[in-house]
Amino acid sequence: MGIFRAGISLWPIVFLLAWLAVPGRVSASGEDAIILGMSAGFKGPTKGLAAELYRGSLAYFEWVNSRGGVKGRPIEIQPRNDNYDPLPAIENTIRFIEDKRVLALFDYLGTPTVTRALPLLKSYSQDKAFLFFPFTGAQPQREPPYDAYVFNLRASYRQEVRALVYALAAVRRARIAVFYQADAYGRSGWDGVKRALLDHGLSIAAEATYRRGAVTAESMERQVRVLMEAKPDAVICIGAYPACAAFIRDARLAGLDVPIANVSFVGSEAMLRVLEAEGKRLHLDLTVNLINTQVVPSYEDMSLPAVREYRELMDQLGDRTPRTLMDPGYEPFRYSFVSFEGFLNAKVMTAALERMEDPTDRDELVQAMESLKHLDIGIGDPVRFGPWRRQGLDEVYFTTVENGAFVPLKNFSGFAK
Amino acid sequence: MSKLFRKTLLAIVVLFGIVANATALMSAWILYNNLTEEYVTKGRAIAKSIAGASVEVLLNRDASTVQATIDEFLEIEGVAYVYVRDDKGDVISHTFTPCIPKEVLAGRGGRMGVTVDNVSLTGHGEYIQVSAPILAGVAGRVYVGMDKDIIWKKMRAAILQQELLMLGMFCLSVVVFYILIKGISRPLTELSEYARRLKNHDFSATIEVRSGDEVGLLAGTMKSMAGELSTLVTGLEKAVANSTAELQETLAYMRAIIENLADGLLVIDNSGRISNYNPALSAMFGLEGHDLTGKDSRQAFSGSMVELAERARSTENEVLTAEVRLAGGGVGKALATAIHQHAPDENPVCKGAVILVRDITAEKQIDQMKTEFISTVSHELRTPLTSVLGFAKIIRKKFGEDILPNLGPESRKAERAARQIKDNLGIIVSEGERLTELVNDVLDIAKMESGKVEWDMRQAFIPEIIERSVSSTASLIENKRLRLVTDVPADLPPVLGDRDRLIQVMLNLISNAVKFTDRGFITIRARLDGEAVRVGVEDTGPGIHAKDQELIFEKFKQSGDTLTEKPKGTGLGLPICRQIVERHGGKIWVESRLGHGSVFWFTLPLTPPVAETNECSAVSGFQTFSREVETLTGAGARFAVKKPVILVVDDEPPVRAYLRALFTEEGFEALAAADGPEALGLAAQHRPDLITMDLMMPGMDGATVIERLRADARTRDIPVIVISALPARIREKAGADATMVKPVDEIALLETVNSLLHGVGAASRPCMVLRVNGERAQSPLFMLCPGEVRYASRDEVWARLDEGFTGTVFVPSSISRETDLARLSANRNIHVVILPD
Repeated sequence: MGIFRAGISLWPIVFLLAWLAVPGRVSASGEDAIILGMSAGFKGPTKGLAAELYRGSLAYFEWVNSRGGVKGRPIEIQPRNDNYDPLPAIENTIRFIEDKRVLALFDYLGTPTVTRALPLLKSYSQDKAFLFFPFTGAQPQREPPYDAYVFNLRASYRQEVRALVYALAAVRRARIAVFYQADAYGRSGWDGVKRALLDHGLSIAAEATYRRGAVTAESMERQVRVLMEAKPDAVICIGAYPACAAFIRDARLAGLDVPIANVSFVGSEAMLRVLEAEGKRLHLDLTVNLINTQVVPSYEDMSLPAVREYRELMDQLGDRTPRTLMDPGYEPFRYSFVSFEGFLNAKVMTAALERMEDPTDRDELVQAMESLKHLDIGIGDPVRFGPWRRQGLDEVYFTTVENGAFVPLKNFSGFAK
Repeated sequence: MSKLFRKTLLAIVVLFGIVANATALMSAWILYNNLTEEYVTKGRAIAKSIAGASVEVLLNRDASTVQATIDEFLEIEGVAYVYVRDDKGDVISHTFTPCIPKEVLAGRGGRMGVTVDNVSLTGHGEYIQVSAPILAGVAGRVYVGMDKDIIWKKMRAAILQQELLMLGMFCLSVVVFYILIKGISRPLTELSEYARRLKNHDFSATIEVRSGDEVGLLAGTMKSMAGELSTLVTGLEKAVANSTAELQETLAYMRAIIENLADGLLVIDNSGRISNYNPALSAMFGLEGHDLTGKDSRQAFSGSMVELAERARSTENEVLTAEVRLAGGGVGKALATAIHQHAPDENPVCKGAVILVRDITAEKQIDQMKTEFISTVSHELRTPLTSVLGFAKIIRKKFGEDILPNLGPESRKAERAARQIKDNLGIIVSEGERLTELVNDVLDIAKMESGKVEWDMRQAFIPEIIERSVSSTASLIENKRLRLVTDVPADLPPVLGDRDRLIQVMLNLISNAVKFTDRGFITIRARLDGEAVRVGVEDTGPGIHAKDQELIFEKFKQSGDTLTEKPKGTGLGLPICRQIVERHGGKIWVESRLGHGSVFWFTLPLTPPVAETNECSAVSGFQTFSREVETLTGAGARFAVKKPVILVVDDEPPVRAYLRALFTEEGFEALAAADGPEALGLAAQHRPDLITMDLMMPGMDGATVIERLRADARTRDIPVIVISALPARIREKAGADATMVKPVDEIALLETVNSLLHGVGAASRPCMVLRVNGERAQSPLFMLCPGEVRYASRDEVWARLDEGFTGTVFVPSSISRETDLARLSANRNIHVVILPD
């Protein structure tokens, strides 16, 4: 009948495309360069995150390279786009691991992509493939069996949402609803909320999901309606900025004026930009009553040496982006929490590389990283790694919008019920 | 588009419709089953796979990894949702947006093993849900929802594709069929066109036989059939042409005959339209130059011609005749016969009529001349005779009464001369009477021979005729002192005959017998003789010589020597009798022996059995009246208180003078008029008590004068007696109260006059008039009634008759048929008078 669409595999095509695209870049980077493979969604809902993460790391590596690199070797990030989609992410990962010149996987972005890449690391364990500082707070790479192959810098989502739940509970906002992305990222946040509430003997008041890849133009009214039925005291969003901005907009339009919290992954600056635009269109201030948790200190805190360094290097970098991977029209932020995290990722990575005799040897890398038992990177708290510790930082920072920028939130009393 | 194609197209559409839909439904069903099965298999595999992979993760309570795992399967086509419940039944991972459906939240997975269910989720749709336990259910359960919508969509797409394919095939089939059918229908159309032309006898048409299939075979057959037909038709046409030629020849022949007929021929069809005629007819009716064919005969002709045509069409096997008026005043005799078509076993159908017209104007004229001659002769002979005889009688009477007694005895010579004169006057009278008789007889026989006599054929009763004859001749017989014996059975059947003429025969025979018999008997016999009545008059006279027995029936021949013996009659009596009897279809002869007397026999055939007893009585009232007058002669009474005035109308001065003299002599006052206008003037002026009227008068004839008299109130009631030489029939038509024939019998005339003036019978005889529908009839005849005239209904009449009524009963002729005249007549106490209309 001809209508049975055979399950034709897309794999061969994807491989072919990847194979065609990669060699040129590899040859251009030089043989003695320290190459870090970065798979992230440079297109799609995470393009802002990916771009800023890349820019932050690039700013620091450029500075390192400008001073002669590590042991004479420049550090180079090899970025690949995965559209925030697990399958291309797996493809990219396989490519990176099989390319012996690539020292390690670095600055991966996104929970669904990373969690799906994890089994690869395990299966390629003889190739000594390690992932460093993925931009996700999900739990799998922090727990066995995959914690052996991954080094995290940032605090986990569980830590982020626990901090949030605890803080909200402290101001008697006990009915907490969750708006989350229907994937592993959202699930890990949801799981965190559930656990944190359980600590207080509570459960999730209501939950609503959205399909990954949703854009701001989409309506979130159904989700808002689902949540409003439970009359929540606060809403915690585990999602990407276009969907979360849309949710905030529709929630406010529907009269849901409770505090809405977002986690670090949302991309605070991007979200703020969207909310301002939407607010302008609707003649509505959508930036009020927002709480965003961050896993890095505010880049506005100039008292921190790292912030000063970051700002200087970011200014040097300018508006550079991995243009070849991205759709045109993206306007980078001068500073952002994401690029600051990328910057810190690069700084910790460089510190580890510098402790290696051969910075291109995959075998040495883990030991070098594990040796960073107390590394001050200029943010007040030290980075601590070890054979049993695979997460460098545990701190969670609350921020809120003031005068069109996310500023540190020192006092929660303003959100008291 | 040919009909064949249309039919086939319809069949294809229906067939394809059924096939396409059946196939599509079948495919859909199979597809549905296959897909469902595939989805179930797929769902089962996925569920098992997830269950297998999630054991460790679930035990770690890592929802995020489970989510990552199930997300992976969401990519697989047909998978709508996946969710995982933990051992407590809580949903720890799912792929629903925006929220978990109520049905899922409410559910509790507790069953063992892999299950397959059909579930319906609010706001989502229909799914095949496959669930598989994780670690035998200890760690939880995974649920995979396979989207049924996709099955439906695929089915729809499949059906659509299939229908499209079918549509394409259908279109292709239509095209193919169209071409095929065109290939069949075109030769068929050609064939039918060929057949149509053959039907129209166009044998020049040809058809090309191209194919060897059935159509080709048919074409071949038709072609050979056409050939045979052509031959047949040609033969037929030739035969028809020959026949036509013959027919035309015959027709022309017939036409020539018809055209050259001296008589006019007219053929009309059943609706009265003229279908054939000849020039003679056109000429006769002055219609030359008009085409009569197809015209309605009622419009083309008029009068008796149309009537004849109408009658002819309605009669069968009868030739009708009529006299018709021709153009230019001519007279034609038309013979009409109906044309009947005799179909076997059926009634004949009238097809019209044929009328032949012969111009008989010339014959008519001759006939007319003859009639006029006879009338003139009789008139011219009788008129002077009336005067001569009348005056001779008056002279004789006056001479005998006034002169002879006054002569005195002193003149013996004068007395002797007077006696001589008286004798001579007697001779003049008797010879005048004989001359009158002779003239009458001559005229009679002349009229009979020329067929001018009008026979009034009715049922006649021989006994009545004999009785009448006997009573008429009773005085003769008595005068010669002879004895009369009648031997007539009263129950003889009637014969068809002219009563008056038969009486004439009897009178002739009886008077002959009286004439030739000096003493002895006269015997009258009547017998039924087979199909005839035989009547005989026997005398005891000298007898007739055998050689004379035939001779005597010839004109002017008498038995014996006429030179030596004194003739005893005109010699025309027996020839007249023979004429009359033979005209009645009978025979007359004589049986005689010399010295022993003679018997004159005649026979009359019996009336055909259509016996209508009333018919015989239905004679005009006038005749009845006349009869009664005869019988009542002796009873006539005179009531001459004042002299009644009688107006005599006659154009002949001698007749006028004679009648005036006669009436004056009888004590009446007489006036005279020479013509109609004068008569009308005198009648109006003097109001006479009675008028005698001649009919044939110059200027205004008698009938017209009577009509005028009746129209005038002053003269309406004056009785009129017609005195004319014209036949009785014409006299009767004049509308008079009585008629007399010239030369008039004095005694009869006077009796009639007295009757009309003073009524019939005595004053003791009352009158009764039968009412017609309650109306009272009026008649001058009521003058006959001296007293009161009573009107009575039929029942009253009978009632009064039973009471012993004696007198006269008047019956209007309009109801005479309905009245039992025979019963009335049978009553000896009454007279029956039938009033004319």
